[in-house]
Amino acid sequence: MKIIYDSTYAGFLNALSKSLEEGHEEISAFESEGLFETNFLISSDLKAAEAFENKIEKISPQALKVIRLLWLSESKGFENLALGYIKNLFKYGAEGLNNIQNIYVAKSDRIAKKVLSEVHRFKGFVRFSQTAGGLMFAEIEPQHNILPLIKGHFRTRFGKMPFLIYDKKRKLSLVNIEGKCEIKNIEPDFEASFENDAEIEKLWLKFFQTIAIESRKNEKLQKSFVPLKYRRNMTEFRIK
Amino acid sequence: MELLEKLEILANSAKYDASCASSGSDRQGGAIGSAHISGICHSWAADGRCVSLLKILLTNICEYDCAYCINRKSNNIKRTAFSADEICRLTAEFYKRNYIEGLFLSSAVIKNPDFTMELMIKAVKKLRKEYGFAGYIHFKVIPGCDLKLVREASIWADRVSVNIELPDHKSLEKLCPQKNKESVFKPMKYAADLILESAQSKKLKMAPAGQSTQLIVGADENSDFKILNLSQWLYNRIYLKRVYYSGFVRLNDDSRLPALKEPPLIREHRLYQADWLMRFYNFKADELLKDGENLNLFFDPKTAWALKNLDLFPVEINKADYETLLRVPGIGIISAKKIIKARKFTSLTAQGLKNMGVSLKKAVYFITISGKYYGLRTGNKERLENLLLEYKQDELFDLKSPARTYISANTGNL
Repeated sequence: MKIIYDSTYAGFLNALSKSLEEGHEEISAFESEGLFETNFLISSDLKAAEAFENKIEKISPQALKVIRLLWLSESKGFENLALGYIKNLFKYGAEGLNNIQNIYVAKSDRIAKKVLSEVHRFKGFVRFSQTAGGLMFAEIEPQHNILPLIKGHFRTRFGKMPFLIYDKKRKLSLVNIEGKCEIKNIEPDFEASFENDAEIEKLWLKFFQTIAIESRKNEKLQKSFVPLKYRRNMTEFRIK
Repeated sequence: MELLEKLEILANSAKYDASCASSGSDRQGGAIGSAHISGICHSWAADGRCVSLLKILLTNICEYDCAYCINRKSNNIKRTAFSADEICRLTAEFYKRNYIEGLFLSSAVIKNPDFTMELMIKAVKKLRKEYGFAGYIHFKVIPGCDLKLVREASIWADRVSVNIELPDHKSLEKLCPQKNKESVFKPMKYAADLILESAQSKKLKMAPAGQSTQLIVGADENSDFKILNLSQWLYNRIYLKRVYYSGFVRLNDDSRLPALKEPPLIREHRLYQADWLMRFYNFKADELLKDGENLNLFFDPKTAWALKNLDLFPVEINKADYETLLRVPGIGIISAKKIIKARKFTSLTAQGLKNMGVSLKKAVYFITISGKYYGLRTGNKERLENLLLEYKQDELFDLKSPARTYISANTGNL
C-alpha cells in the first residue's frame, strides 16, 4: 500500500517510520496524489516525528543530515529514496553509510550533495538592492529549499544590516531585523523602490563587463558556472 | 574624471591578473562582513573566469616600462588614480549587495615602489578601520619596496602576493628592465617568514590566507619543466598557497615579445592540471617532465604520465591504497575517497562503482576489479592512446578548436 502524507516535514518522518514498521514500499505527498481509496493517509504527529529523528541521530548524525537535505531538496520521489536510505541504516547501523554501492544510499548522497552545492552557489549568487528605507532586499528562485541553509552565513556576514531574502518559488522570507534572523511564511509587503541603487548597479555592471578578457571569451564555460535559470535575479545579468 | 570611467580604466588595467581566490581566511568581527574559509565565487565573467573580488589597480600611472604590460610608461593610454575613499566606498557598497567577497588591490608603480605601497596601505587601512570591513582583502605587493611596508600590508590583508612575472631572471631582466630577481624574492621571502611566525601567535594574524604569486606563460622561451620546478620550489620552500599561470596575451607591439596571435590557453590549462597533481596528488615535477620538456597538449598530465609508465598498471581497485588510486587516470580525489569508503563495507563491483558515480570510462584501462580486466587488452601503446583520445575528459575542452576553449583553473579532478 502507498502511504500518503500531508506534505509537512513531520508527516514525512511519520510516513517513513510507519513504512518501516508495516513494510510499505512507497511514500508520496498528498498534493501530488489526491485521495484514492487504496492509499493510506496519515496525519502528522510532531512528537512521534521528533522521536524518529532522535532514533536516526543516535545511530548516525550524518544520516539525519542526509534525511533533512533530502526533504529540503524537494526533488521528485525523494521520499522513496529516503525510505531506502533508512532501511539500509537500520539494517547495518552507522557502517551502512559506507554502503555507497547501494543505489538508495548513492542517490541520497548525491541529492544531498546537490542541495549543498546549490547552497554554496547562492552564498555567491544572492544579489541585494537597497530600498529607499535602507533595507537590503534580494529575490531568489533556487531549485531546492535552501533558505534554512543559507541563514547562518548571511546572518554572520551582515549581522547588523537589515536584510530580507525572498524565495519567490516558495513564498518564504528570510528576515534579518533588529537582531533577529528568521524564516517567515510571508511575502514582502512593501512597494520596493530602488532608485538610490541605480548608481551602484551601473558601477557594478561596468566592472563586470570590463573584467572579462576579450581574447579569452568563452560563454559556454560561463554558462556552466552560472546557469541561465539563476540569471534573472542577478544584477549583472538582469540589467541590460 | 567620473567614478564610472575611473573604474573602467582601473579594472581594465587589473584584469590580466589571474588570481581571484577568496579562500583560506575566516575573519569575523568587523561592522560588516566576514571571510569564508572555502572562498566564494560571486559570478563568472564572459571569459569564464570567476569574479570573487573587486579587482582593481589603485593607479595605472607607471614609472616602469615592462614589455608585455598594458600599463607600461611608453603606452599612450588614459591614466588615472583612485582616492582611498573611492576604493573604500566601491568595496563596501559592492560588498553590501553581495556582489563580491572583498577587494583585490594592485597598482602600477607611481613615483616609486614605496610611494605606491604607502598609498595602497592607506586605502586598505581605512577600509578596515573606518569602514569596519571584515571581508577579504588580497594585497599585491610592489617588487622592490621597503620590507616594513610588506609587514604593514600583511597586517590589513588576508592574502599578499608578489608577482614573479617570468620563470627566470633572464626573461625578467629582458622584459622588465626595472625589476630584478632580488626585488621580487626579497619581499616574498620576508612575507613568508611573517606569515609563518604569526600563524603561531594568537595576537596578530598577518595575511592569514597566505601568499600566492603569478607568472606569465608563453612570453618567453622557458619550458614547462622549468615552470613546474619553480612552482614546486615555491610550494615547498616559500610555502606559497597558490601559483597562478597566466597565458600570455599580446597587448603591445614589441620586438622582445613572441608573435602569438592567441593566448596559449591549453598550455595554461595543462600547467594548472600539473600544478594540481603536485599539490594534491603527490606528484613531483620530475615525474611529469624531463629537462626542457613541455606538457603534452593532447593528454592531461596524469594520463600522459600513466602512458609512460604502463608497467605500473593495471592496479586492483579492491586493494590499491589511496596514493595509488590517485595515480589512476580518470580517478580524482573524490572518486578515490569514495572507493576507500565503499571498500570498508564490502568489495567493489563494476556495477557498484557505477552506482557510486565513479566513472570508469578512462580508468577501465588501468584497473582490475576483483582480478578482472574490463579494458581492451592491448600491449600496443598507440592503440591505447587512440582509445583514450576518444574519451576527452569533458566537452568544454574541444581539441578541434583549442584556442577557443578554456577550462577553469579550478578543475581539480583528473
